[in-house]
Amino acid sequence: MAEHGLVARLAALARLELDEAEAARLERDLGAILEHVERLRALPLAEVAATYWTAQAAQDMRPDESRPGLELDDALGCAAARSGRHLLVPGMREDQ
Amino acid sequence: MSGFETVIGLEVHIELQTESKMFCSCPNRFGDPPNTNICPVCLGLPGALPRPNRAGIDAAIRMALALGCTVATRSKFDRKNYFYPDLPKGYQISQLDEPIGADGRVEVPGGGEVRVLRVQLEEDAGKLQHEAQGAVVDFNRAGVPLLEIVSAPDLRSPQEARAYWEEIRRIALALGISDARMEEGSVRADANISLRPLGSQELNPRVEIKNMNSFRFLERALAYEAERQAEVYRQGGRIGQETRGWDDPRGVTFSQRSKEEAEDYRYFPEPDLLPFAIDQGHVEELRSSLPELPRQRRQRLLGLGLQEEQVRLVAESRGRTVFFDQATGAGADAGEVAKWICGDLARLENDGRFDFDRPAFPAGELGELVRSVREGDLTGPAAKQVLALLAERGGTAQEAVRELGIGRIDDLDAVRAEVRAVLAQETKAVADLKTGKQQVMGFLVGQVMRRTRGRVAPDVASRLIAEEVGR
Amino acid sequence: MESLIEAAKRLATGETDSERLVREALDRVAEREEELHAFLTLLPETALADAQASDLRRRAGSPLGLFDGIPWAAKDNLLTEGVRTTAASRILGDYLPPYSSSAVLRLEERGGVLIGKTNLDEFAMGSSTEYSAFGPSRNPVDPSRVPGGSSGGSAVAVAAGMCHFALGSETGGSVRQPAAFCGVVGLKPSYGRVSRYGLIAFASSLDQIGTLTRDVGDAAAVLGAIAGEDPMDQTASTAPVPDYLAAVREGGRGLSFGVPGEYLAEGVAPEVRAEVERAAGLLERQGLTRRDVSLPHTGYALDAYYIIAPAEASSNLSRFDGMRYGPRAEAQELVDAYRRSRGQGFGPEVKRRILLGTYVLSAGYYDTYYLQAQRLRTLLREEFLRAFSQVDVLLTPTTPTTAFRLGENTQDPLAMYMADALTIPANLAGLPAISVPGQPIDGLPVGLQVMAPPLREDLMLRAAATLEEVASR
Repeated sequence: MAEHGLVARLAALARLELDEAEAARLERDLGAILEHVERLRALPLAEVAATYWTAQAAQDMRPDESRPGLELDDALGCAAARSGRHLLVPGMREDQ
Repeated sequence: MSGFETVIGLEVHIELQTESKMFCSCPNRFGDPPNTNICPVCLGLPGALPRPNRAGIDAAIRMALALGCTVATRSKFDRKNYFYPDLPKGYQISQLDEPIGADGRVEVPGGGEVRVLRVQLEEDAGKLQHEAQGAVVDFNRAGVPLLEIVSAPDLRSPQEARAYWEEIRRIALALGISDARMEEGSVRADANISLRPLGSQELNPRVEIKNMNSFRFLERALAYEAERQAEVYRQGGRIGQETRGWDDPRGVTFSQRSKEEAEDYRYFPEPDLLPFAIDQGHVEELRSSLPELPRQRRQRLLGLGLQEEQVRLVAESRGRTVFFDQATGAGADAGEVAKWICGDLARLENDGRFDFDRPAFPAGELGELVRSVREGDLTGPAAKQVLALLAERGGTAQEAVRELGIGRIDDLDAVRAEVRAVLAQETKAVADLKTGKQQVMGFLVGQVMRRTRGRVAPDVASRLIAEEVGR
Repeated sequence: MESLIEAAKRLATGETDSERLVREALDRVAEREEELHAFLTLLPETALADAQASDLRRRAGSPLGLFDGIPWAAKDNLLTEGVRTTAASRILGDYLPPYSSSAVLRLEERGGVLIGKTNLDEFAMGSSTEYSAFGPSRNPVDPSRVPGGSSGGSAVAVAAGMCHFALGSETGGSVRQPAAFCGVVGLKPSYGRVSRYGLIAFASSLDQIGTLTRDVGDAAAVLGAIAGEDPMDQTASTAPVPDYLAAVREGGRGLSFGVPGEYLAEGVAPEVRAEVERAAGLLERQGLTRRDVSLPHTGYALDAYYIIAPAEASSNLSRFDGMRYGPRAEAQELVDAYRRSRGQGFGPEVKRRILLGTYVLSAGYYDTYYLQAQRLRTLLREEFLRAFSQVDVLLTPTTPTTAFRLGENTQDPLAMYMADALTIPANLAGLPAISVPGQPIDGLPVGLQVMAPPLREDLMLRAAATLEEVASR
């Protein structure tokens, strides 16, 4: 049911590197899951509003007051690479 | 370019000047050392959740009102998903289909009316800079509230696009919601430009030029791009939808993303933030307390008799307008005050010796100065000296006059004495004057001015010179 | 092992002290941990230090209350400041959070003694704890079987007497289902009843922190401690927190309940159905009234869940990219760094869900999948609310079967998903729900589920208290 190349496209969007075996297995799994949820697609729900949130009694917006944040080592202490106070990340090709 | 119509739409991004960021309590400050104002929320640490800043919402409502938009009665946030190192969560909290404002319009000075499609509230990303060893990221800016103002493709020239952008910025400054410092990146714009045959109503594929933070660059980039596209069409080619950057040194746009697929942002409603009602009573309160907007200001100044160029210069900033209003407040002549502001004070500001937002002396003193000159208590040249001293040291006009000792010399005998002293010295000029060379009068008057340090009115000086010479 | 309330009583009378309780807990850990693998991180030194501090407070006459000195455990997707938190994934490496979750803080400030972080399915995605990157946990009743998931480790720790209570988390039944499999009480609060700040997010509109306890009274006590508004979580309810222990004391007499037929449909093991019917009869004998109710769209809940949860998860897990925390894979260029760090760091079930979620949100598919699922959600919630206008609470089985064997479902994701079919609806609708042990079937624990209207944990606890009283006779 899943189109050929679907997993490759999704993996690119989701920045996930997959080996061939993984990709093949995921293609199968996704197909099976999507087939199962087909019955939901068939339900005539066009007139029904979506429920994105079930929370009740929301809070007010936050007043505009500032508070000191984290110390650098607490915030980026687990980062793979730093440069001075900056986070260091790999460079990008021109078209990224 | 003949035969073609240029079609431009602008998306303006304005960083709001709130105390804290949009979704966390980190300080919203420019210029601090990198990664000083960060917390689990704006850093996208696991387990963190956003909490919306009330001031951001109010600023968005006020901007929407100032742009003539309808303010939504209900609004919500949505997630825009993409990967980039300056976007810590891997998504930006933004607004998609229920923005705070929609359906507004802006009258562009020197241009037409432009429809504003939407005013939406979102968060800014951090700052990424390319370096030799990769890229470095500073998250101080991540999470700062951002207003995105999207226009319809109603702009018809690079000049109009620029003028529209400038007006949006002026409005933001007038509202006091942003410091709108272009050089700090507080105001940015993305432009979409396409061409179509004159008379056509269809839209052709457009080119996007992103992340401009200079009015001049925008105008130049759009002018170049319009011509580039025209040439492509003339050669029988086609324009594909793409993103291009502007290389100002070389004066060209260049292709930035030649992607077969556009990025899929997979928008969906932000589950961590509940949709919120916007109380219309609150909106009316905000509407009634809106400050004078640029267009209203320009009309008012025109009504006071200012010339168009003076209107442009005085209305340019809230600081100047406030200064003007305070100076004219006690009744000083509007035209005269405008002259001083657009002349001497603007020059001083340019030299960095005066700041309209933080003036060294009360604006009322300028009014006092204008009154003094009008009533003849002070000569024009003397007033200039007074102004310079006030700008340097503050205080009142009266104090400055006293200190400089340049109150008008009223005693005609004293003036006459000075005139005689000058005439005694400038014998050649006097001789010339006697032979009818009237232009020498100006020189002699100038000498009297110098000798008395401007304490004699020029017309009085020339009258006395004539009398003395005539004798 | 005794309940936390009983332990608290004995602490108050001086019959025992916290240090002793903690040592006993750690002894039990030592006895069974190798076999059961409930924990990912153990904190014996800090636990003993905390216990000693608790005992000092008590001796000085100023104990902090019910929880002071009681050993407890937290699921390892709850952030604990300075203590390694992994979400049972390699992608976090040895991450040390700079802050604790609000729920953890609330127990800490009441003197609770955290003895360790428990195992889970990676990022809470699973129903057996077999998807943990660090090996599965095992059911203490029968270690060849799964303890359930994703809060398997927490359920095991409580069931095996390694601590007096534990916190877990729910997205589709991840507290109730392991509670049912292990024979303990698992409580899921209404959505928004407990702050999610500091819970590593899986599906934001479904996640809730839940409790694993020996009995219903303990569940009420723990809920009372962690529930309530929190400025750090905008979705956390501002509704006042009632006295849940009072509800437990009141009991269920006078309440009405329904057993929706859809929850006893095929797919539910006959013995499980029989156990629910037996419990229903017992409740009636205790003075509760049974009425007919129907929830026609129940069968679609699983489908809607497996669209909504992965969709939100695919977005929530984007932040795990190796840049600001976690190990970063070797790469010259950014895109490769992302792809490799995430490809190496995430396990197969997580990848499955990220890809599925990416799909259902992508351009052209949003309406048919995500929007459709959220519409179904409206129907489910409306059905529940209609049912609750007829009855106070609902009684159903917690799971279709008793605990399955390790490895039984790992090759078939859909079969694994079925384990949550009866718990998922409460998550989708935002209702409070609790699983209470019934009579074991062939020696294996079985769970009886009570659901109540939103923010009516009081009704749920009243019914659950009576159910607990009669069901295990």
